[in-house]
Amino acid sequence: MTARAIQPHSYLGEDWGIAAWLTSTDHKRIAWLYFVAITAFFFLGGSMAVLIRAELVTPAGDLVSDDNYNRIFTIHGVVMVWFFLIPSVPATLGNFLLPLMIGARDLAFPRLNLASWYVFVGGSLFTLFAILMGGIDTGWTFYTPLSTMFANGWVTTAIAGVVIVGFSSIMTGINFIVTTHTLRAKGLTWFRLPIFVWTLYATSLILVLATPVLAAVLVLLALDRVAGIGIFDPALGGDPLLYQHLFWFYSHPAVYIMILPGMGVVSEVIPCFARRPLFGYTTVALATIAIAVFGFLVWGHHMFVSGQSAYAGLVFSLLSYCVAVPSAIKVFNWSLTLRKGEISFEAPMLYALCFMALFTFGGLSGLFLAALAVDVHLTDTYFVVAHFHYIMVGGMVTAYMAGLHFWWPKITGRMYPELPSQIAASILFVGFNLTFFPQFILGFLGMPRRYHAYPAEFQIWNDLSSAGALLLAVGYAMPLFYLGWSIFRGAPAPDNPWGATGLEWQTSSPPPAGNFAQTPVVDRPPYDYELPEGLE
Amino acid sequence: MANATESIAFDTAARERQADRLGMWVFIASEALLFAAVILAYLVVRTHHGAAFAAGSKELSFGLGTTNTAVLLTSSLAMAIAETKVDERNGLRASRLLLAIAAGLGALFLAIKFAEYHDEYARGLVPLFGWPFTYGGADQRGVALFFDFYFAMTALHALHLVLGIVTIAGIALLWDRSGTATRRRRTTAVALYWHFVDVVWVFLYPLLYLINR
Amino acid sequence: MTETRSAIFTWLGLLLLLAVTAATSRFDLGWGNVTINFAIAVAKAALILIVFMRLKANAVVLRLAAATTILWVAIMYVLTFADYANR
Repeated sequence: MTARAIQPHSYLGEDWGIAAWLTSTDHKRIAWLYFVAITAFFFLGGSMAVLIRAELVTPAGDLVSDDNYNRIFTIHGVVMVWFFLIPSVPATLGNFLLPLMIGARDLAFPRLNLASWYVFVGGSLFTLFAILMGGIDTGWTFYTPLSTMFANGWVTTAIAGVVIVGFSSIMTGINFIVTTHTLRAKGLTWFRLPIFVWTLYATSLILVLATPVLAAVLVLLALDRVAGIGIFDPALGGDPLLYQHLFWFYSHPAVYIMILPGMGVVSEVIPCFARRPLFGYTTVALATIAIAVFGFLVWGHHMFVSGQSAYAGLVFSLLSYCVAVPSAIKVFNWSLTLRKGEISFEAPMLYALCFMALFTFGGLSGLFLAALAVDVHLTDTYFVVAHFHYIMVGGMVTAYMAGLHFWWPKITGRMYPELPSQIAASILFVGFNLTFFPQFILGFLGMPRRYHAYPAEFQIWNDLSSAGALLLAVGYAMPLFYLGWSIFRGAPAPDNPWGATGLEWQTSSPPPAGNFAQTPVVDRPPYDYELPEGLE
Repeated sequence: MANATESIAFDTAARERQADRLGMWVFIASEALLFAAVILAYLVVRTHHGAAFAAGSKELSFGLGTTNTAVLLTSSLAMAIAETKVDERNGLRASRLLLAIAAGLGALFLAIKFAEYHDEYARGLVPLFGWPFTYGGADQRGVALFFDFYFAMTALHALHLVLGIVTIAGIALLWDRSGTATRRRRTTAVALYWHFVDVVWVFLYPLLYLINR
Repeated sequence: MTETRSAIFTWLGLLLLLAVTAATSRFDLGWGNVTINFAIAVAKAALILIVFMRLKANAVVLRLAAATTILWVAIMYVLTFADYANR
């Protein structure tokens, strides 16, 4: 191993010109490019959510027209899924941390990494253009034959953006897989990897194997609109359900693209703030891979009422229950890690505990939906909306916030202010439950999703939900201000403020351009918190 | 020069080339799922319209399709030898020539494909863009679906071939300016891609040209 | 030289398989045609993967990548046809 001469300068310190940032192949700077892009998309998607909740304050459809309402929730879904949730943790925290965690100087293909950001931005321009030109009204799923025969918006442009952004996902996935295989430090065997690396690996696997199927089906859809091939058009002998099969072959695993990295973040934060090794490390690692694999076997549970064969429905229902097992294993392992720990409640830990609660709620409500008979009643109601928001927002976004606070000192070299962060985490928890728990009730009572008007008896629950959304907006806006402030005014961070294990804490905060002054060698298992070195 | 790495992450060129191979294989896995999804759609629709797909298949040029398969297999041979030569001490010149031959055969494939497209257009067998579809036999609707898939699948494949030819052209143009390690890495990478595009055609050929039932 | 020679033999094998699949398709063998065509396509793909793409000579992880791909395609096909075959 010939260690290169590495300048001990921080990666942030060298050149602050715009051109230097936009052409840097340093994974840490590319992570920042992604931070900026996805934060913008998060607030764009969030503002659409605000409009939705505002419209639903009163039963009458009075704020926006029905057509505009369709366009608003479509923008919300498309932007949040493909432009925020899918890249959120992998492309930002993952990009920044993967090489640091495995003791590498960079990802295997630094230029591919930079290219992935440009492809991401390029693709997003298509979709933004479609939105500015008046948007689309198909919902984020682009179901046929609605999207092929009846939708009269900029569907082709919008899905072109989604396909292009998919290429960016695949590039990131390839990069992460190859990096994990070829660039681990000496002594860092697979079962010494932090769980965050395992989850990034599993996520990359899904990105690489599922995204092309989405690309294929969306290209066929676009060909239908542009060239008039009738593959999904029943009038021409085509098969509209075929679209749903291929779409959900991607989009169900995509849920695991969103949640797995969140699980990884939480698996790092909980042992650190409980001062205990992660309980059942090996089972957590294997459960990660199991979730990635099982995630591909369950897509048909989105199609129970679509006219799919009842036998296929039975199989998909059974397999959907199976995927709950590895998820539950993880929740139990986190709980047992907390047991007898010396728990402290800094902001990352608060967010991580919120994640555990909200993810468990979301996961358990998923079991209701996996049951064939119950799902017939609940399909396309607010119960489904509440379920997946508990997973994606309550789970993933909360985990993203946990990770952002946990590694903020490493990323910026500054500490975030503790008290405002703890307040924001608490507001988020209350606001989130107030927003989405009433939606479980609404759905159970039979209120369908995607309508801008509703019967008066649903108003109380909708108003509670809208009030919660206001609180939630405050909880998400606060970090934007105090984290932004802390970049310039925060207290300088030590190299390892949490006394955490993991190679990323062994280099300086912020790390130098080549990550490590000396290539690290690993001689111990992960999360060895009982050892005095870990406590510092 | 033989040991220069492209990425700062690697210590040796040999290690980096190994990483390149894995990267290409993961990329190929992704590409394979892309084509597999389109072929799955084809198979589902074909189960609905079996007889029409067989009738449509008989309208394609059996001779040109078979010739094209042989052309593509031969281009893969040239590519395989190019990858062998690039590792030999005196093989670099031969390697570049073989890359050019592979790309040339790819272009020949595209030329033949285009001739087929032209013939099918002339016979009114292109049910796209509102062009006249004048197939006279039974189940016109099912046959139109066969041609929808035929054009979608072959065009997607041809697009990949075009990208391969462009990549080879780029490698050949930069050949004199790149070091030995770079030439080797690039040849290995493009060879894997080229063979994969060949494998796709190996499946498309019987699916489109050889339906009897 | 041996690598070049095995590449040429592989190419000859591929052309032979092409000739068989093309020739048999001229006769109506019912499901036999489908079976022969599919088996020969798989055989050709295997030759290209193993010899031209050097799966035989290279690291295990590459074979793992290839095997994973095949498994995933199988998952997609089996579960989709679990629906269509039972309508």
